[in-house]
Amino acid sequence: MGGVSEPIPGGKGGKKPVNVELNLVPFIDLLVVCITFLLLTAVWTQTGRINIDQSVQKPQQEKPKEPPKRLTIMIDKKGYTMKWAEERPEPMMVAGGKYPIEALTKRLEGMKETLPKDPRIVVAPEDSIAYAEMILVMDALMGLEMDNIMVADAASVIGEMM
Amino acid sequence: MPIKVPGSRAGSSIHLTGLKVGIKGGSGRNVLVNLNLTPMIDMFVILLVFLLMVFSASGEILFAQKDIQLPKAFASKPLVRVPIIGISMDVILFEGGKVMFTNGVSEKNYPDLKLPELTKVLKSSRAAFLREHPMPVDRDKAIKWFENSKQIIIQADNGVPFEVIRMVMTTAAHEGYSAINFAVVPGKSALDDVIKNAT
Repeated sequence: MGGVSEPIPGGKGGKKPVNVELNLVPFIDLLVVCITFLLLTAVWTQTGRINIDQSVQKPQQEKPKEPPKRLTIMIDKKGYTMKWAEERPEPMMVAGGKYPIEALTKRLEGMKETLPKDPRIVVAPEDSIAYAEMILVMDALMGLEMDNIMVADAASVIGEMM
Repeated sequence: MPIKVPGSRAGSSIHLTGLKVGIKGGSGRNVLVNLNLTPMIDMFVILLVFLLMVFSASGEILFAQKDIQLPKAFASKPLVRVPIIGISMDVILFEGGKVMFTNGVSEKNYPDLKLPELTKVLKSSRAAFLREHPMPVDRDKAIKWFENSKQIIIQADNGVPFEVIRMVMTTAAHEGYSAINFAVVPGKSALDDVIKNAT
């Protein structure tokens, strides 16, 4: 092992041995170098991103004269309130301390066909809402290929939710 | 200088008869043993294949912070290398360095929606970026440069209140970082089954 056995000239009957040992040392060297490099450059924590357009608006307590054509999802302690353009707001209440993300996803899936292509979506959490709850809603939207999302303060959309 | 015949070397008086006999094959057992390298090579190949499969050309962009538990997301995109703001329940970090405490970050305390300590570090980061990467003259390249220059990653803990996120986002936007990327852990989230059933 570890060397090439030279064929013996003039063996029995003038035949050369057919068994040849491969020199594995350079191969092992190459493997060790590759493994060391890959171990050093390995990425152990996989991370992704959810990207948005930054647009944090100043609070507007007054009801706007003409409602903008956009889908607004407000997140507060009571649950979600969803509203598309001039339609009536649809509240989805928290049940058992859990936000009704499944109901929201199903509702979004149902209304996706009726919405125009690439609709503008505003996710507006209240100040006290945890970051994870906002990401959950954004994840649901992106899962349905509705990725034209912007984040706003709940106070800036409360006027149109009335 | 004349050449001298070397004298006896240290240890020459020790007769390793047994070893000499062994090497020559005169004894019952040969001291040269062939190692079986096949299992080792097998293991190396498996390890190599695994490491090649998990290899990422972009490298480690985001380093895990012990007090930042990232939310999981089903539909995320790959990260790009841009400045990172970390937000834990206790501190706000920029590129791993502590900037300020999270406690007290509110619109009440900062009515102009700008966090001064964060503004300072973002300003210097932007200045360094502009110094190292001046805007290209070519129009297409300039558009791409502009898109890249406004990107920032927010690596926030699950439980951080939205008010803190909002204040950080507004501060970043004031300093030209208006394209916000929320860092998440890709994988199966609670929504996975819901979306599959719905579609």
